Amino acid sequence: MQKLSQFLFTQDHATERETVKTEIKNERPTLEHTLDQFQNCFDLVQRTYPECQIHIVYLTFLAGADQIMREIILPFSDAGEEEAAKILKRSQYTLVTDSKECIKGILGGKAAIFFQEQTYLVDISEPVGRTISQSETESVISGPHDGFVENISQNIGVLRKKIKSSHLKIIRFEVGEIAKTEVVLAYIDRIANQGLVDELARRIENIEFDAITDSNMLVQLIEENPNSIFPQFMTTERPDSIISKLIGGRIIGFVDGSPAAFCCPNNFFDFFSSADDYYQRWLLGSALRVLRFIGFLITIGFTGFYVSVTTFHYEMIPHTMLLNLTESRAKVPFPPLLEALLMETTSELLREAGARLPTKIGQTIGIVGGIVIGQAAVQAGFTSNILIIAVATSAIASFVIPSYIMSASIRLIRFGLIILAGVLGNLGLIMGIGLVIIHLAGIRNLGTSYLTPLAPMNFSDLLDTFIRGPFWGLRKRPSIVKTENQSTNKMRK
Amino acid sequence: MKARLILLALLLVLSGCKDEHILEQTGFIRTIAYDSAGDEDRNLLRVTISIPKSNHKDAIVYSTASKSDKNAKMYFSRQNNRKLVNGQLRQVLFGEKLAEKGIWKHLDSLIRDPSIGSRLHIIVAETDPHHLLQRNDYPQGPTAGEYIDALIRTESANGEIPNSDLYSFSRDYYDDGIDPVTTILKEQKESLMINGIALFDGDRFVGKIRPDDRMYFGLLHHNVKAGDLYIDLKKNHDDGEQAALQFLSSRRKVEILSAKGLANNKQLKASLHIQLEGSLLEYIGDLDMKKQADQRKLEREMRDAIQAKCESLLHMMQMKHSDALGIGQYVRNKIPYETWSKLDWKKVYADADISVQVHVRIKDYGKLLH
Repeated sequence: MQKLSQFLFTQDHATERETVKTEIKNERPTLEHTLDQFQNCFDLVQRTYPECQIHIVYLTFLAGADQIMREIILPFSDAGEEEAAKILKRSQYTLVTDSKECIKGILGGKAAIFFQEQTYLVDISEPVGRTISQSETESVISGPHDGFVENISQNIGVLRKKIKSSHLKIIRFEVGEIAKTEVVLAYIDRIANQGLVDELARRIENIEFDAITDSNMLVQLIEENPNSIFPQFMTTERPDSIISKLIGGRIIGFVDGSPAAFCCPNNFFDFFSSADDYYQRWLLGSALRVLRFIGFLITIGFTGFYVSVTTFHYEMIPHTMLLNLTESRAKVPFPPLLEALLMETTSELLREAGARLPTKIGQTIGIVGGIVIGQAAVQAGFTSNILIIAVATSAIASFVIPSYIMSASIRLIRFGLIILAGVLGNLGLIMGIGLVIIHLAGIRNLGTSYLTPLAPMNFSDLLDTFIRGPFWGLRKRPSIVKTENQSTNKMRK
Repeated sequence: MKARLILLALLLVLSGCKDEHILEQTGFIRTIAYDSAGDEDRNLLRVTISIPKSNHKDAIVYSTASKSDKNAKMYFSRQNNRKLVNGQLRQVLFGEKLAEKGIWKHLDSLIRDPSIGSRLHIIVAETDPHHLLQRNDYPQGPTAGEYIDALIRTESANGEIPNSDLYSFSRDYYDDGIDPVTTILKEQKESLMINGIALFDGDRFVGKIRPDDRMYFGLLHHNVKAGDLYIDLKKNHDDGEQAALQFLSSRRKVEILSAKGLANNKQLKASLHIQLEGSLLEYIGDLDMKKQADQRKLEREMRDAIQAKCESLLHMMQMKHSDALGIGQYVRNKIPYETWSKLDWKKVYADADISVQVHVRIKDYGKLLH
């Protein structure tokens, strides 16, 4: 079965997976049945050409004026019945025998042509959506600046253009009980593990959900631990990072209407690497990666550490700093725990407000929040100025994590750690971090551990995890993809 | 499962809040001074604590005479509006008179307090330790605590005075065959001054190395990494010949020559080898440093001078029964433990014949020729 499906799908890109399924064939499509299905759809257009006895049905807002002119009006307006039969033999007019398929075609932007008991479909859809532009959420300084767009066929086109190999296989699905969103999976044959591809395909086919509008939504439906706060399937808008994942043996996917592609399996550390790392010299790339891990520790723990130190562990503070800290704390009426929670909430409010506002007003938020509130809060004796430093540092540190979804998850952990630190001090902090690690170790991602290559330890993977190893050192594909084709730069073992 | 999680969360939340020391509600004792209260027969202790204020300029100083430090602390906390804690303690000063009686019982309570760090400095004050703390007009730094801290840190970084923190003091106190040493501090009109090294017999302050000799003591006591040594060669020449070795580094080696017969009351023979080298940056005398032969000659003169000085220091330490150099440890390593534990080490040490062998090498005499 596996071989068969592989054979079928790799033969022809246009062959759809649905055809393999044994479906009960509907009756042959008729004009009456079709019109009946589209009752109360004011955008449905029905044209009749009495001379050649054809009826044409399409959805007007999906159609482009040029395409209608080219495929329908020009050929059929003057044609007689015989001529019409000839015209319909042209390759763009495809015969359909299934009324369900006919309706699907109309919904997909095609026009149905009813002629002498036969039904043909012709594509008259106008491509909608923006052209390829820079990704807003993931930008790099050097490296390609293009990002994926909402249109899935454009995205697949980008992929095909960048990987000129017939080993790049693309499978198509339709997901969403009502919306029927197009979803594709892509992988490199002989590098990706076929078992994982089949498993992922099975999960996507089993999705029961009304409408899927983004890949970040889809991945939550196919992940193994939907209740974890950590994202498991990585999503990115950058073609270059998706391609490196693909070459590394991972499976990637697009959702129509979403500029983000998803890929899997991933480990926790993948979310900390950026495409930038590979464009820099390896030593610099490694330093940046280490910096991001430091940023991770700061962002989850720094405010918590402030709380625990000021509440319990005054011994840990250097003496000179202790005096400054005492002085700035002396005016604050709240215990450190409450103080920190207040300021962290304010900082989250600012961030959320900034995200909701257009860019021009968003900057004002930064000024109002950062300068006015920060300064005034200290002067009013609302918080100590060292806490402001802690909150600001952990906010800044959270931005160095390249994946927005991951950085948002990590922010939530911070609040838990602050409460634990305020209640139990450093003991609580360590307990909290321990719980996070236990949870991370428990997550599985397409059957592999989320903490690979740390647990289970894998030395060759480590070279591209905490540091970005030099290219001459990256000889093996990551172990989590379970590829049979481990060494890089080769198609076969 | 859910109920268990809630229980766990409750346990976490409700078990805390006991050991809180919120910064602004806490008074951090930086320095404690102990001295006997003068009134000998009542055996009272005079305790002074200094709590720096957050303005970096003043310190709150409390002082009382009481039977024990715990009593004194209770007395202080009745006066203070903040909870007094020991976690930021940096120095403990002992008055000379108290130190002569033994300081271990005070140190012991410090060691057993887990909030006190082991890098706490132990100091013997030659002048009144209370007055030293009460002053806040030192030009070098407003409060005594900060000043002492910086003073001792810079001095011991050079290896001129041995590290006299709580850790090394208690280690040497408990260890067999070595006695602890600490720094001696003296108050002057304008400043505080390190005025030598205190020698201990057990925990009793018994003698003192004069500040001029502290480098020689350093050579005897440990490996000096970088230091300056001024050597008076007056004895050999009439015109006040002097030499100064800088960037000096030394290695010391202890050799026990006769340990076998110790059980039969034979005299212990040991020898201390010191190898030192440094740059000769200052020399006043007749020799011409450009000549190799003259350099060798000066090396010999310096060797004799250092050797004599060291031997006299060693002799003094033997007299005071203070084995600060840890000769006993080397002896202990040479003989069976049974013999060692039967030995009256202090007596053997006092009678021992310990010689000092010095080897001096002049690395260079400055970078410029003149």
